[in-house]
Amino acid sequence: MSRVGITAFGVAPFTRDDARIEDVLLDAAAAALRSNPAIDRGKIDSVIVSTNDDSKYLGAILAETAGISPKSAMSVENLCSSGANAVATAYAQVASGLAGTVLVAGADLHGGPGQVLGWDKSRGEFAHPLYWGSLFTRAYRERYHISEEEMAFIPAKNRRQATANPDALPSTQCTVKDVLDSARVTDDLRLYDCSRPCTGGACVVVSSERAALECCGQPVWITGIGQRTVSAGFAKGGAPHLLESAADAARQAFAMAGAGPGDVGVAELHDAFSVCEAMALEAVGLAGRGRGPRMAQELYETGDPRINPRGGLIGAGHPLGATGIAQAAEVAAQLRGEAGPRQADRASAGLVHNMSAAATSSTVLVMQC
Amino acid sequence: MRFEDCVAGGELLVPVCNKCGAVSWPPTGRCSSCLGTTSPERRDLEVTVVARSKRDGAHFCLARVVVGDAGSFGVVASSRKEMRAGGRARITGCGMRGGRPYFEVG
Repeated sequence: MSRVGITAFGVAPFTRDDARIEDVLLDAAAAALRSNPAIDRGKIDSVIVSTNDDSKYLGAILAETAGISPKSAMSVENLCSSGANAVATAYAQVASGLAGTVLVAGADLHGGPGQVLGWDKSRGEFAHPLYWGSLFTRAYRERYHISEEEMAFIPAKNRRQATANPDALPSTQCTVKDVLDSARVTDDLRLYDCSRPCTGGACVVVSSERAALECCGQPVWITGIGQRTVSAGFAKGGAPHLLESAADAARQAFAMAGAGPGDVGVAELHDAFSVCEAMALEAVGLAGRGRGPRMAQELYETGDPRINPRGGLIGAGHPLGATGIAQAAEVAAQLRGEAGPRQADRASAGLVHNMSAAATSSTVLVMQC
Repeated sequence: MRFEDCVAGGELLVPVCNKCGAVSWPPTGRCSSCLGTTSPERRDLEVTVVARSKRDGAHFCLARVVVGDAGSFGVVASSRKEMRAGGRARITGCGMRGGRPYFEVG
């Protein structure tokens, strides 16, 4: 099977501003297309929009406003992991031959829908994500005897890394003390442990090998995709200190790529809450069980940005439908050595982990340059 | 009777499959095992606390409810006192608040 690669990428800055979803999507698409002027919009066969917004027909609207007349235009919604699922859908379209080039854009607005899954009655009156985040944090810390201070290295690292990301929500240099001094949201979560809802967009262009080699000097190949949906309801999930969906998705993605965790030099992980980064590091095989916070501490102390270099959801912000695409764009930039002041050591492989609804589902991408 | 109506009346009736006897949760009209129809049933509901936390002085926990041989399901519930992970308890109350169900264990 011929390869499928990312040939352009861009981000519409993450803000607290009011905006129209159509404008944010177009800004993201424009940023991606500006990053590679060799892409012929007349050859884009498909436009996929990733969003939780209630607006309709956004794929066709984005296509029209971006001057694209594709065969297919559609939206993908899967809560917080809409973005990586949209990239996976684009991959499927290209790999099957249905499309040669696909523009994938994601966006959501500050205050938009998608935070609460109303269908899930098992959450009772504790429907907001901070409740599962709090339950996970307590369960993980008790299981592995992790102190609040040890966990605080994760948000301190990610908020600090976001200061080198011009598209992130504004961040200041952050220390472990700043995290521990931030407001208590629950007995187990501080304000700085939580990802930040915002307005923002991101876009990648996914191309067949033939199209990629025609228009791009350095495509970033998507070599592995893994997906796992355990359930929709939170309370059907497994042990609250493990990310079962992420572990399974990572196994599939690595098997498809013929690679393993040791090959991954840079990763974007879904840090909806601090504990999620620790659990994701362990689920995808980058850290041993209970060792995620220690790894984050070492990265913080050495200034090594290779995990969540753009600041993650905690540092950069979390516009739901854009997040997975922004993660893929960041890994592409890192693998090409184009990440500027937040560039990690050049790596040949990178990983994206994007999840939904208390990790009831996950998508993992392995990308190689 | 709708699940929400039962809960609003203070009773957690569990949807159980009329064909295979499995519990269906979150509550739906069809069984996820055999796709048969379900009916709400009154069962003895013992729970095991899986995880717990606290906000503004109020305890809440993830509890696994065992429904005899019919299976088990989870709920996020409040409790008047701190629960121990792995501890046993019972569903002591339920109702509707702000359009959503709530559950209490103790």
